[in-house]
Amino acid sequence: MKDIQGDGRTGDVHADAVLYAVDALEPGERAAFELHLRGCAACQEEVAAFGEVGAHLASAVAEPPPAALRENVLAAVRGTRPEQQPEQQSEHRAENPAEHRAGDASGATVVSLADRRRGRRRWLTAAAAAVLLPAAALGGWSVGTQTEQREQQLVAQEQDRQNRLLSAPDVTTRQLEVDGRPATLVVSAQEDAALFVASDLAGPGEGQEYQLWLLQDETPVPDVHFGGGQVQVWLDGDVDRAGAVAMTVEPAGGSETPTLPVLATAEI
Amino acid sequence: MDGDEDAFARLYDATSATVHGLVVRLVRSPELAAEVVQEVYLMAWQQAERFDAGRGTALAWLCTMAHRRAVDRIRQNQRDRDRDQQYELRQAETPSDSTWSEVEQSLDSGEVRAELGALSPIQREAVCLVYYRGYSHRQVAEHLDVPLGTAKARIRDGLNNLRSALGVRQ
Repeated sequence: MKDIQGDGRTGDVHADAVLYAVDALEPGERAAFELHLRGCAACQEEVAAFGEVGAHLASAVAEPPPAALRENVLAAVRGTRPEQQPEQQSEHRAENPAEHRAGDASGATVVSLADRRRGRRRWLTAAAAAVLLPAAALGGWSVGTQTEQREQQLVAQEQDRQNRLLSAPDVTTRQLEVDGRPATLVVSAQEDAALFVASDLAGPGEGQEYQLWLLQDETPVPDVHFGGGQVQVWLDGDVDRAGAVAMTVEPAGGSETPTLPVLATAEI
Repeated sequence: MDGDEDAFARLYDATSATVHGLVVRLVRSPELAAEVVQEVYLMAWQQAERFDAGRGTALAWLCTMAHRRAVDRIRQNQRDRDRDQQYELRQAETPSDSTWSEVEQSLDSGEVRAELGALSPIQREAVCLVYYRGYSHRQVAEHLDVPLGTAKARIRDGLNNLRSALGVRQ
């Protein structure tokens, strides 16, 4: 499709999406393209896709920042509240009449509490997405052969599944500690889905595996089992009916009843 | 607080090496890079609502902000220099494909090196100038002494080829 651009030259405005995504447009062209971008879903997708290409190029030149920068960034953040979108504030108020009533008594601070709660969920989502990134990205970049194309399809399906989970309105994350190493559980009851992610679990021991359990009315229902190292597994069971997740070490192949001790638990 | 800050710290830890590596390569000054990286994470914190996991990864979101911010700083500095001392950018510049050799040396990912290496030299040079140096298509055209349309085509073709090689969904 040909469009007349703001600067009077004739060109395919959609073809600027890739240039825009890597900041290769001149300032005037950038402003003109942004006007177009707002109403063009195809270009929004293009820009997002080339953003991923950019992140891949960036990851090749990774260089840890000085440690002091982390302190500066976190200190700066401590003094600043995340900005909120007004329509979501009012939606939130409508959902939470109790908070709204409290807000009448003490002014804006309580609205900000509700906002913060919402902001927190968003942050957890962003952080969870960052945790998920390595595995997703690793699988994503392959070329060519039929096997690889099949793998790409699987990766795409996995990414869709993760995207559905991460975009669920009720998505939350729970941090677990397994033998001193961090793990994350990303959960949505609405999607009836939970994903367990860890980048570096200790080995469970010779002939043994980790196993997760869904606690339904205090009864542990056996779920997935897996080894150590980098782990990213979906739970099989009815997540929406479970109150908590527990983790044990079991003989390889998993068990029907948990072997104590319980290594970690998280309410969901 | 609390959960917000913990989540934010985790995000920082998972992404800051990539974001910083990109910014320091673009602005070529550790001090300026630290400033830009801090701005980027502060923006991310304030604009968390705009992040949409369904549209892309958190890393891409951050890298996009970082690239934009760094490029704007570079261009602002160039304008200041041009005004102050008639700084002639081209004199300091290096022959074609040297950006690539410089980038190639520092690439710590063999995968990306192979993918960039698979592009034609002219596409590769255009992509490197744009992504790692922050050039606009006009600057690429001047630097390589080719018409604007040619510069744009090389950038587009190079990035489209990378996109296919990387398997980013169409």
